[in-house]
Amino acid sequence: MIRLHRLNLLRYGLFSGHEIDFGESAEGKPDLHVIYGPNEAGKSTALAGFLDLLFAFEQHSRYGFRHGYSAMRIEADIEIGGKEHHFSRIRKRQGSLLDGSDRQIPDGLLINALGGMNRETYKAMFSLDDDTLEKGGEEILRSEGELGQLLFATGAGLSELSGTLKGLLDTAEAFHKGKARKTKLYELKARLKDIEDEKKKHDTAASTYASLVEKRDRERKAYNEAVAEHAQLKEEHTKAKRCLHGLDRLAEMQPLRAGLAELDPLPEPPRM
Amino acid sequence: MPFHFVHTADIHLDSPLHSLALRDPDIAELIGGATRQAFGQTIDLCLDERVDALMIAGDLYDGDQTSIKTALFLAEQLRRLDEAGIRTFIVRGNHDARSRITRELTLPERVKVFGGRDEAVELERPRGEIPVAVHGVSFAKHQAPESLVPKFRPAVADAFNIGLLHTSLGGSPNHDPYAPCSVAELAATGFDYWCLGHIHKREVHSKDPFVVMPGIPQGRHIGEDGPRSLTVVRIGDDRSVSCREHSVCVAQFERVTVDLTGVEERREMAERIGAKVEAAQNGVVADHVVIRLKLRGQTALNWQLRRDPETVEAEARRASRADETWIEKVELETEEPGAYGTGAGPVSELASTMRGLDLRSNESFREKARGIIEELSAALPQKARHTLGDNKKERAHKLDKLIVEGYEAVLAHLHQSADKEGED
Repeated sequence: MIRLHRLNLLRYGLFSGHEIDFGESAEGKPDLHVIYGPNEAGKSTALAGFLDLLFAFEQHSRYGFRHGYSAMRIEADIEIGGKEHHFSRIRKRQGSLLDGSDRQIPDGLLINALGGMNRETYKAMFSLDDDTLEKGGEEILRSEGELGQLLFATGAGLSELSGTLKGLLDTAEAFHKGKARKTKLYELKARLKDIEDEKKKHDTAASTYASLVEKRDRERKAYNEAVAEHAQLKEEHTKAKRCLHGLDRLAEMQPLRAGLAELDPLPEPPRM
Repeated sequence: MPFHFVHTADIHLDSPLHSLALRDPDIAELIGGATRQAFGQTIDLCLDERVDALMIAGDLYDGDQTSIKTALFLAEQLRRLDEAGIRTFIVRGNHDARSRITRELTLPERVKVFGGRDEAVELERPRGEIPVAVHGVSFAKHQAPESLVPKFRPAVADAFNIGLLHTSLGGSPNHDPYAPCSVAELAATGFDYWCLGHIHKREVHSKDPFVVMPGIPQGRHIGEDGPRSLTVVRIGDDRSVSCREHSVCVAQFERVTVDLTGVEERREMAERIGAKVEAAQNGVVADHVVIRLKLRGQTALNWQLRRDPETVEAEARRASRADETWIEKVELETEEPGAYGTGAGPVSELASTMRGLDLRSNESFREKARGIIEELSAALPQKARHTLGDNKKERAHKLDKLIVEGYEAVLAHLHQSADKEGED
């Protein structure tokens, strides 16, 4: 936890050596401070100054117009984990954070104290103005971005919860996930299709039945016709066979007849 | 001798029963063919009671029914009546008009299927008995946006006139009108008994003349719960009409709500479920009862139940293990004890925030949830899509339900992990 004790806007925006002292915190007493002032008094400038102190000046700072960009400087006394530190921020590409004796110190010192937050996240969580309040609210509703999770995990102090949520999402996605194929739903759909195919195999559609009945009647008629034709042919066949047989006998008979003609007539038997 | 007939409609032969209970192969075996069994029992009833006629006011089968086996079964059953000399009168409903099997259906001689024009059959009755005329007008197409009543032939003088009509009557705002007409319009025909069909819930709309919607004889899903029946009618020689309900239902769907207020142990939950299910079963005539169980009330078990609905279902099944009773699904509407938001700890705070916001009425949340559901709906097989709602109103209602079920389930899981963290 960090606590801002004193902020000195040494050369920043309209301010020259303007100091805001938040005093000591007392155990059990509220530690809420309200800074108020008319429009253009510098409230937003003061806030921007504090953010610049924490995260270094922005590349295109709007607050160097009076003192010149290279001369900009902010100082602050900040309590980190119960110990007081003095910091200064100057405008420099690297090594812009100085300690109480103007020695360069790594930026990491402050960043670590803030739990590794970057400027955007810090702003969204703790520097709320009308705009960010509205934007942040929407973001929480969509529960997207780092903010939603951050608020949920650190804000609620429940690291287990995001794991549980992830588990629930995994369960849901195991059932169905977009076009993924290894889901329960996909499997069940495949099974349903198999069963429907199987059912179709055992079933007869009315339309199929109609054509089957029609085919049956047509073939039955053809069969009956064929049977009748068969009987008739059989009869003709028998007849023909009989004729053929007659012809054979005829051929046999003819020479016999001829032979018979050649023979002398038999003598008359004697009369008694 | 009185004239005696059975009036039924909306047979929907071979229409599949939609119930998760059918996952159990035993029950699938028993009630899978419930619509056929119920129709077979209808024929049995006609034979047992030696009725004069069977009246079927439309929808013998589903419009998308294509199997000839359905048609052959129907013909076979009606042949049993034909052989006993019992006449059958049928008008076609919207489903029959649409189905491909209607054309292939060959029915026995004593079955009269009315066409789309005015037609009346005057029955041959022994001398001295009240003459009976049966009128019917069928659906020619699967739609009939206008009343079919003007198509009927005028009442036969001195006869007892019976009209068969498939109609949505006044209709409901959610459904297209099917041959809409009013009870007054039916009464004005001078007919004595109107055999209606189409609406699946039984209702006697008038007793002078009789206008009866018999309802579907066998419910097919939890939306068709409660007792279902056909109507047995007896017309006395003095033209008096007595009609009674008769059940041929094989499996009845029932909703059972169990209040778990104050219940702290699973054993006690099982006892309460068992008692309620038994009570529900006692009031049912059908052989089988398929129960949709709803658990409600403030109970310390709330988180547990919501975390693992499947074991709840298994326990409910065990608790109601009477033969012929089946739990098809458990709906959870339980709450944790005490007004919400009073519990300490982050999950309780989160819970009270989520419930307090009432996410159902939060437009952007709703929009996102609707997107997820629509995507899922598109991925479902065609036949399963109705589970997410058939029309806009149903879909909105389903969405409300899923949103609440969803965040309650998520909270239940978070609650568990928060508990674990507390124990560490």
